[in-house]
Amino acid sequence: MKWFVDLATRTKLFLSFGLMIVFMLVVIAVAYLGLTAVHRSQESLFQDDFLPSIELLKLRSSQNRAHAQLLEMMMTRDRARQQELERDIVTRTREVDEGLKLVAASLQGRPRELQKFDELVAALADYRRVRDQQIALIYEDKSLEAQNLDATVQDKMYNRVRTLAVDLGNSAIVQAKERVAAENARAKRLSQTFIGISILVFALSVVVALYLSRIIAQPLREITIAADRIASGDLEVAIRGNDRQDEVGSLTKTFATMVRYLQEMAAISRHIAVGDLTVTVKPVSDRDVLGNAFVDMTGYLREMAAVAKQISEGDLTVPVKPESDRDILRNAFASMLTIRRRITKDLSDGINVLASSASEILASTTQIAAGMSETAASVTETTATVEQIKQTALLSSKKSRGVSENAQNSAQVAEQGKATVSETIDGINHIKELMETVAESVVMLSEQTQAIGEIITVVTDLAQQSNLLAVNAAIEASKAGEHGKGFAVVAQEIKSLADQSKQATEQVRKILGDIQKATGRSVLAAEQVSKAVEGGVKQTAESGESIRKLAESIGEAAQAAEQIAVSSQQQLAGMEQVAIAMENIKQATHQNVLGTKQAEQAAHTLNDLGQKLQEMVSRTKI
Amino acid sequence: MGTGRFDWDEIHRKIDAVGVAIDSGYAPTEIERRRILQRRAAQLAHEEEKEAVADTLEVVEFLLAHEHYGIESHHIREVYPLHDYTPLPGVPAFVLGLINVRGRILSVVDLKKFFDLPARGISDLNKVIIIGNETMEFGILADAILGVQAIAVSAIGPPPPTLTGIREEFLHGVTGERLVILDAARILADGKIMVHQDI
Repeated sequence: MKWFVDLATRTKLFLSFGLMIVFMLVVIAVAYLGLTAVHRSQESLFQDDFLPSIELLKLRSSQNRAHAQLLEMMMTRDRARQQELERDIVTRTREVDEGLKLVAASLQGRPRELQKFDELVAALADYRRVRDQQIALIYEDKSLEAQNLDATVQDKMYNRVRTLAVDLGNSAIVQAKERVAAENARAKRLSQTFIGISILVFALSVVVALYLSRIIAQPLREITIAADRIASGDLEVAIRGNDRQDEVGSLTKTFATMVRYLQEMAAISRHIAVGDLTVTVKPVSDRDVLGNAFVDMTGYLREMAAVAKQISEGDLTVPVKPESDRDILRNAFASMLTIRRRITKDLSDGINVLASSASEILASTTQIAAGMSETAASVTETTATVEQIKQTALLSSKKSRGVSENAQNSAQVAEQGKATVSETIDGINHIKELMETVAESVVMLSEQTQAIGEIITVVTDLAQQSNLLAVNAAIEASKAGEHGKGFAVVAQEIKSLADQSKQATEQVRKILGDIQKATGRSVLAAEQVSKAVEGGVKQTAESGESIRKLAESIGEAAQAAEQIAVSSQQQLAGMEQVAIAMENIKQATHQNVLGTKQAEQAAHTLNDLGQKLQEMVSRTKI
Repeated sequence: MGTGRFDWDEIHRKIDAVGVAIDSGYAPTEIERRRILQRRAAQLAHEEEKEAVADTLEVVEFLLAHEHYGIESHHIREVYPLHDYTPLPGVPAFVLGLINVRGRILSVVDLKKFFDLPARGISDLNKVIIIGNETMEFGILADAILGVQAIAVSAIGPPPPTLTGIREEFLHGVTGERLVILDAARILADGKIMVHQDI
């Protein structure tokens, strides 16, 4: 059966169901054949056994009736009635004959019954012969004889016929019964066969179904149970391996591989959980998400472990870069490093300060001790110096008074300078006004030249009119003929004068133009002078301001000198008090020397402590 | 203020001199006076020469579009400045308008229109030459009057052959100095200048 198991599941199902369909077809064929046989035997039973007996019954009934009619014929005297009865008898006789034919046909092939039938036919022929005699007697009105014949012969004949028919009918019924029994037995046999085959097919089908279930459903169920357990987190499942080649086989194998993979991963997880980071994870493929994630995770943890190790060795320079805000471990490490670095640095700084301070304090106390004795000597010197200062203060008081007087003199000179400057400004302003007057005068002259120009226009006009007048005079003179000759000369003179006047006016006009240009230049010059004067005013004002400031400064200097004189006096008084204070200082110095010795010892101790702390901190790298 | 360079006394002196000159009227310099006298002498001498010529023609010389024209003076009543002329509607283009000369109303004719000379703007400087005979009297527009001249008849030549039409009709002749002498008698008699039109 190995080959069947290795078939594809689809093929398996197809083959199984095909087999069942074949079984069903066999059952149906058997059932059909049985039914057909039963049907055929039923038909033959009816044809061969029931039909003759029925015909015999009909035959007997017709015979009885015919006999009854014959008896009635004997009884009645009415001829018409007798004839009617006779026709009936003939009819019945024909019916009987037809029945006999049918019976004969159905009794073919059965010799015993045929023999009996021949006897019946012979008896019936005897009966009919006697009956014909009786009918003839009736028609001859010998009814009594007919009745006697009946009583003697015919009755026996009739009974014999009836007996024979009954026998024949009975034998037919007996035979039919036998046949029915045979058919029943056969039908029973057939149904038993059918039931047997059905049971067989059913059993086979059950076997096939069970087998299919065993080879397909069973492994799947096992895998499902295993998957359920894996889903609930239990990886301790055992998958029975098999060497099947179908889908179930490959599913089982793949599932087993998966379980193995998960178990490996679980084992690695357990290792990691107990802190063992030496495990190596090999991803099955590039798309092995879990494997790659484990590789990343172990790498990450190893990196963190290395960082932690470095930190524990005191190296705080190791770099930690968080991948994102959610990288809690790296963020924690980074912040831890930052905080530790800061603390260490602060500590180091503090210790350094402490150490250096301690050594400084030591040095200082040593110096102070030395300084104290020097101080004592200095105090004595200071006392002498104070006396000298006193003399100096006296001298400076006198000098500052002299300075103050000088400064007051200077202030007066500065006031004079200020007045001079203001006079200068007035003078310059006067110049400016004069220049403006000059400019106005020049402009006025220019305007007057314009008036002259207008006058000249009038003169020109006059000259023209004179010219015209001269021409008219000449014309008149020519009209006067010889007497007008003298007048013509005069007219010519007048014309000449007019021409000259015209030329003169032209010249005047030209000169006026020149004057106009000169005027413009003068105004321009005056304007420039005016501007220059303004500049002068400004500069003078500035020098005035400078002088004023100078005067102020000198005044302040005089005041300061006065104050210096007063201060010097106070200084003198202060120096006396200083001398007394110096004596007190001398005594205090002695006590200081003692205190300093003790401080020196304490500083030694502090210095040693600072050195030790520095050594400790220097072991940490930042 | 540069007093060393600028001589105020000189300035005052000059101004005084100018003031005296203005007060005493115009005094030409010696050279100028001599020049004027010489010019007059030359003019007088020239007149003498012309007087010697027997047959002369007295003409009034005037300008029309930079050309010199002359009209015999005995046809001329007078010359008059063109003031306040009145344009006249419905007359030919050569009639400039009407003027009032001491109560007489005269028409003014622009000869430039006849002679196809370039027109100029009319101003107060324009003059009118009034010509007339017993029947007619009207003004001729002139750009400027140059004066009265006596011209020898022998100096007048025939008009150049290039002149035709109306110009030729009105011409008397041309002198050597390109002075065109107009024949005033013919102008006065010509029907073209008369305006006789019913409107």
